[in-house]
Amino acid sequence: MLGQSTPSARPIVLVVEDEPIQRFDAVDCVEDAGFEAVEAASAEEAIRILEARPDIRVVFTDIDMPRGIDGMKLAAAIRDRWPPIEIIIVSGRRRPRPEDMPARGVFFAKPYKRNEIAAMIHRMTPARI
Amino acid sequence: MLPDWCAAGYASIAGPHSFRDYGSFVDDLKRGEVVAVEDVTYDPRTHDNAEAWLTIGARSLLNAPIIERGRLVGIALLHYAEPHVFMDEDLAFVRVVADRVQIAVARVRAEADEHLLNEEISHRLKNSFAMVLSIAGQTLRTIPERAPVQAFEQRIHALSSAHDVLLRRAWTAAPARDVVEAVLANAGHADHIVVSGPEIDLGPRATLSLALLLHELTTNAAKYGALSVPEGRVMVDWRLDGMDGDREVTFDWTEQGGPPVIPPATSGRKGFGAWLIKTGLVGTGDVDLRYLPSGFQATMRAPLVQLQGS
Repeated sequence: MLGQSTPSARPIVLVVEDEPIQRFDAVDCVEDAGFEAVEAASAEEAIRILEARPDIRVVFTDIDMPRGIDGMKLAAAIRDRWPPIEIIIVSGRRRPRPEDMPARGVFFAKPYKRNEIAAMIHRMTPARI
Repeated sequence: MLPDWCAAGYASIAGPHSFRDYGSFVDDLKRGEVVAVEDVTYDPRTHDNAEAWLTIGARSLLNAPIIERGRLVGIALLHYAEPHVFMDEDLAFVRVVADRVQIAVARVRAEADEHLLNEEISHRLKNSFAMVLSIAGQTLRTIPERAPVQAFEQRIHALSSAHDVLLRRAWTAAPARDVVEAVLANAGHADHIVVSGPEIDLGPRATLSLALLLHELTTNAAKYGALSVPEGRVMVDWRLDGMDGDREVTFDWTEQGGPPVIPPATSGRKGFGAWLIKTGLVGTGDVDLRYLPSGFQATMRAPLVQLQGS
């Protein structure tokens, strides 16, 4: 149910990827690593989800989404509006310049390695006491 | 041509200028016509704006349009501080300048276009690698035996890291050292491998071939050899032998500090990894594998021309 967060022991990761096959696989990667995945096919959808539920710990986004806002702008918006959320950015283009990255943001080049993404999400979500 | 050169007594006119400050002949230029003004204070096209011309040291001027695909994209301007009757040679001179500028600008634009195109192709290629890995990952999801699935994924990553190095010079060539380092970093073993060799540029085919070969050697070393223990080391080095057209490149892979070396069983059908190694650089097959007590060694040779070909 949108707008109502379900209590979950597993940290929740929002996957933002416009390409359906890659999104499906990214969700699978996140779930395989032991997290709960929520998916968005665009930055706009991601913003709506973030506005509706406060329990998202990590956003894992592609940069290149031809329609609408790209992943870098989404990351900047998240850093501005939801500072505690950790951000993982992936792209098949060149690595963004450090000054363009959000604070604490981490970049992986596509094709990324699933185990590296999983390890990064684990590092970003230490158990809360 | 010299940038911003000025004849004695003339100041540079570099900087932005607006057409409407200088008179009413832009339409002539747009039609491709050369505009000659012998004296800006008398010519009806410029006399209302004569002050502006005189300020930049132009009492007389010759304007030649630079047209690209029917559009006015630039103007070559020849000017004198005094009234001047332009002759055919002035006209020819300013035309030559206009043509040269046009060629130079077109070349810069073509390079910029090529750069953009390369970035786009690279982006699509990497996205395709990502798609292949996603499709494979999902298709093979329920396969209980994970080792072959991982081997496949790692080989695609090795190929992708070699493409990254090729991209840096628009797929024309890749420095051998960069290829070696990219593959080792991709395999996560860069810290335990010492790389040395002269600067050699590899062609795209050899780059991909070397990347896959090194990836197999690294994988084997991590499973059975020097990279399977923390104190193990691998030396990767290469050298150039011979002269001129007969130059040959020799790559050496030397493992040290690993567990006791056991040559693999030779019976039965060889695996793909073993085949990749046996095939050698660009498929030359010139590979020598030695299972020494000190550690595994491989020597691979190929003619430089073959390594540098596309």
